[in-house]
This record gives sequence, structure tokens and C-alpha cells, in this order.
Amino acid sequence: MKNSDEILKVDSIRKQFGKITAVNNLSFSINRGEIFALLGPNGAGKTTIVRMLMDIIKPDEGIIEFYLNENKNSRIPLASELGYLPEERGLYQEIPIIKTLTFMGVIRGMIKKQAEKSAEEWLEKLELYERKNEKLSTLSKGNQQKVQFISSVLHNPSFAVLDEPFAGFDPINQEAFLMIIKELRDKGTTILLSAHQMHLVERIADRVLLLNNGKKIAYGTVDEIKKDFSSGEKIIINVESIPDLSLLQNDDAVEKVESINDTEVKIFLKQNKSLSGLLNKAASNYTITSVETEHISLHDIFIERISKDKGESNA
Amino acid sequence: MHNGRNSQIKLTLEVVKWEFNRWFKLKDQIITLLISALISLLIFGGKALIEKFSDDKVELVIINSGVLPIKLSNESKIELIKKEFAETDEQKKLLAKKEIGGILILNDIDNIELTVNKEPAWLGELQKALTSARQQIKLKQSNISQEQLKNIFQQAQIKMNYTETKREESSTGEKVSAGIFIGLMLLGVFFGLSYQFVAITGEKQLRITEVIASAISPKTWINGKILGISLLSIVLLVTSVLSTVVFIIVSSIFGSGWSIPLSITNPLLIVALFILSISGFLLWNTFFSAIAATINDPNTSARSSLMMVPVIPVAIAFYALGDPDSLVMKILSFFPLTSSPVLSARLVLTDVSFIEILLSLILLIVTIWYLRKAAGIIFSLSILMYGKEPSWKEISKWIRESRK
Repeated sequence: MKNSDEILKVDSIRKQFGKITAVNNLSFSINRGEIFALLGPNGAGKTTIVRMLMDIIKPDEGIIEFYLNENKNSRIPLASELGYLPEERGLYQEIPIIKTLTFMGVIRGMIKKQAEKSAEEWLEKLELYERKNEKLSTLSKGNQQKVQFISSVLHNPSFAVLDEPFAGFDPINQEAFLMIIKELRDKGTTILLSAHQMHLVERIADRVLLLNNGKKIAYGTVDEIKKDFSSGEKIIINVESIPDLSLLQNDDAVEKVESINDTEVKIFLKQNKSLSGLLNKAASNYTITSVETEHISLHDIFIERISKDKGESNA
Repeated sequence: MHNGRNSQIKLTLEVVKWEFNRWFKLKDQIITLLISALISLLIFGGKALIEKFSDDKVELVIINSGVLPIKLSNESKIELIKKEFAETDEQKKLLAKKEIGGILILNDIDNIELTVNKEPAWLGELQKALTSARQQIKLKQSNISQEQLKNIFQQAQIKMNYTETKREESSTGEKVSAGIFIGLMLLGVFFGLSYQFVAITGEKQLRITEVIASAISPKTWINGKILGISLLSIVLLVTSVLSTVVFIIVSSIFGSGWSIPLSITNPLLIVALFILSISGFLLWNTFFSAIAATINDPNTSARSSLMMVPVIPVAIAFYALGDPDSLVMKILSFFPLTSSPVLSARLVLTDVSFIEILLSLILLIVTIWYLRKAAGIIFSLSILMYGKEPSWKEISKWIRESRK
């Protein structure tokens, strides 16, 4: 049964390559107009899922259903409704940029003039208009990435899959792309993105699916996932000498302790536990030079959950 | 993901246009035609020009000229200086200084000496003139007239009566034309295969395949590629044929004596050759698109050598020049892998019935159709395989499974 907000419903999909199970009995859904992040370490099955969604490969089991048009019950999407930025980037190197982009628009259902106009607008927006008649090979890697991005969205798709959209960009361009992705979402494009830059994902993703070994290990909004995470906050204590970690680890308020270096310790607090008792204990045993408190990030959750999943798998 | 049937046709045509425009350069074709005309102009025009302005006569001292009445043509560069005395030291000095071209001593009709510094370019002409003069004397001595001699050496005459209306024996011009056409066809096949090879392996190596495969079906993509590259091959063939025609026309202006046989300018023949050529290109481009999709790295793959396979049927077609009506050639005209070049050669050289042409084309088109289906399966499964080439066993398994 589909929820009226759903634009994509994935039900119990499974994909096996020889003896390796890339995706194992996975279900999730994406809501219309949201930015949905697919996270996981290398080999978690993200690209396999993306390729199945793009109909490049078929699942061995399970169902993938799109509801792109609110008024029509069209479960199989039109190519013009989908945008795709693959992880493995590649465009024609020795052909003028505008020609390649126009062709990409045309095979996504646009008429030639419309595709050319849209490509020019995007090139203008990303400060590449002056170079539209140059060959792609003459551009820097970052600018080639921009062209690749344009090729995936110039036809104004209802649903865009962006696999590692920030890869290859400097921090300034990463920030710019963050805004562009938000803009796309605000104009009505539902976005599925897969990325390793957790700090960026945390800022734009409405919902997240965390995967490991083809299985779901966390799923929901960023807030929900944080709420489910055992730790509330983390503190970083700087001390003069190497502390006895077991002393801190045994405290009731502490979830986990990690030594960063010889004088620095990262402490994850349990949910709703007070910091004051722990700080008093630490101060009576070590010479504390500084204390910093931080909110738990998606990055922390990612590391913790993947490590935990690995531990469970090994056990 | 789907595009609808009409859209599939539209998309196929878009891919055809893309593939054709990607490789076709009008400027290159015009340059090819101009170069052809220029080469012909340089070779034949240059030769004519040199001959026209060259007045370097060779002086040949002939001693005892009365022994043989040598006659040279008006255009001959040899100028005979008759001396009725024995060879002198003075003439040898002139020869050493290259002031004369040689000293010819006619001791008697069967004892002729020629002294030169090195083998001269005009030796053939002199030999011919001496032989002719000697024959005249020998004829006179034997009391046989020219006509009698001709009669003795003439070939046995056979009057041919045909029960079927049959075309005359192929002329040398027709044989040469057929040979050139087969050669150009091979060139067209190779052009097409090279573009197909570079297009597919390049897209794989540049990882463009995934972007395209997410927008259009592999079937649409491969169909567009095959048609686009085959169209390009036919345009390149037409340019090559036109270049040859231009070459012949320019050369004939300067007196090469070459001409295009009228029999091969028949419009029906041209249409038939066009259809056969495009069918041949479609067959080989289909075959090779599937092979290219399985290649991971063109620099190291042993499969790259398969590009030489089309040479075999074309080489076989050259045998048709010897006997285009032999049973083997007739059979090979029907066999789809050889029919395109063999039947093309036979059409230029001999009469081929309409039924034969039709049957041969039907067999060729059916083969292309099935080959295209198999190529589509191989292409769609191979195009996204990076780092590994599927084995022949795997490929045959894919095709078998697709039939289920």
C-alpha cells in the first residue's frame, strides 16, 4: 500500500553477484519533494541500488515502483522524468560541451532547441557559458564535474539520483552545489543522493538510509536517527598527561571513550545524562587544560553504527 | 524506465544522427576529393607538361646505317647521326663527355653493338625499331608478304552461338572497376569498424555507458549506433568512388587513355551496388558492435584482431574477377557473410538474374536481423562490465538464455 506522499517505493529487493549479496531484502520509500540520502561505506551496495532504480540492472527479487506523476499511476518512469549523475563520471571528451549537453537533453526527451536553451542556462549559472563551444577535455576536473552535473538535471527531472555529487569539488564549490541541490528540491525535484561528505549530507538531507553489506542499519530523518543513537552529546577533554581511560569508561554517564592522541580524549555521553558529575570526576584525577562540547554528528553515528554492525557480523 | 514505441524510433534516429555527426566531417570529404584531383593532375598533367617542354634529344651515332633501315616516330627523342665509318676515338670521347647518347654499330642484321655510358631510358624504343627493321629484311628474304605472315600467326577463330541471351565477356575496364569497387568496399567496412570500435570501447573506457544506459535502452542505443556508423560507411564509400572517378576524369584529360566503362554507369546497377554495400556494412557493423562491447581494454584485448575477419569475404570476392559465373562464386553470392562483396563483383562483371539478387538480399537481411538481436543481448550485458571481458562461453550462455 503506497502512501500518497511516496514517489518511490522499494519493497524487499535483493541482488546477488555470484556468491556476493550486494543488496539483501531491502525496503524503503522516498517522499515527493524530499532530499533522501543513501549512506554507507564502500561496498555497502549503494551503487547497486542506484543502478536498479535507474533500470540499468534488474533486482533478483523484490519490487521497485515509481509514482512520479501525482495524477497518473505510472509505476514505470519515463526517461525524461529521471535524472542521473553516476558515481563513475564520463562524458564525451572531444566534442563541444554544448553539443554533448544538447544530446543528453534530447535522449531524455527534450526537443533539441529546448535542450540547448536549458544547457546554456545551466552553463551560465555555473559560470561556464563562455566555454560552451570548447571540448570537455579542455576543462579542469572540477568544471568537467559541473558539466556532468548539468547533463543529469538539464531536462528538469521529477526525480534525480545524484551519486557522490560533491566529489572532486573544492570546499567553495561543495558549498555552491549544496545550494544548487536545495534549489532543485525547492523547485520540485525529489533527490536521492549518495555521498561521503557527512557534514554536507546532514545539512541538506530530509531523510537518511544508512546501509552496510547491503542491509539497512538506520533509516529515518536525521533527528530521528540522532535520537535513536545511544549517545546524546560528546565532549573533548584536553589533559596534561595520558589519562586512565577505564576510569572514565566506568562512569554511568559515559557511553564510549576514545583517545584522540596523547593528551586528548573524546567522550560520548549517554542520552539525558549530566556532564557535571563526569567533569568533577575527571578534574579530581587529571589536570584538565580545556573542555569542548559538541553535538553528535551524522559522521559519528555513521562510524559508530558501521563499527557496531561489523562487530555483530564478526561475532 | 520506458520511452514508448514512437519515442524508441525517434530516439534511435537521434542516436543515428549523433553517431553520424560525431565522426562525419564534410571538410574531410571535400579535401579527399580535391587531393584525388590534385594527385591525378600532378601525375598525368605533370607528365604531359614535362613531355611537352622537354626537348632533350639524344644523339645516337649509328655506324653502317645501311645494314638496317631504322625508322623512328616523329615524337622520338632519339636523333640518329649516321656515320659510314668504323667507330672512332673522337666519338668515344664525345660519349664520355655525354655529348652523344651512344654509338650503335650495325655489323650485320644479327650482329648489332651498342656502346653507352649506362643503360639508357630509350633502349626499349631502339630495340623496337631495330626489331621492326630486321623483320622487314627477313620477310623480304623469305618472299612472304605481310598478309601471309599475319595469316600464319593469327589465332583460331571461334564463332560463338549462345542459346541464352548473354552479356559479352567482361572487358578489362569492367574487371578493373569491379576490383576497385571491392577494394573500396573493404575500405568502407574498415572505416566503419574502426569508428564503431573507437566509439564503443571509448564510451566504455570513459564511463559514458552508464549515463546513456540510464536514458535509453541498450537496444535503441545499439540500433542507432549500427545505423549511424553504416550510414557513415556508405558516405565514405561514395566519397571514395567519387575520388576514383575524379582521378580517372582528370587523368583522361591529360591523355592517360583511362575511362569508366559505360556498363557500370547503369543506374539499376548503381542502386543494386548501393543496397549491397549498405547491407554489407550493416552486417559487419552489427557483428562488430557486439564484439566491441565485450572488449575491456582495446590495447590489450585479443578480440581486437577480429577486426580482420571482413578481409576474408572480400579476398574471396577477388576470385570472382577470374570466373564470375563459376558454381563456387554463385554459391558464395547467397552465403550472407560473402554475398555483399561477391555479388557486387558479379553484378559488375556478368549477368545475374533478378531472382538470384533478391534471394541473396533476403538471406542477407534475415541474417542481419538475427545477428542484430544477438548483438543487442551481448551489447546490453557487456557494456556495463568493467575490468573483465566475458568469455565466449558466457556470451553463448546469454544468447541461449535469452531464447527461453
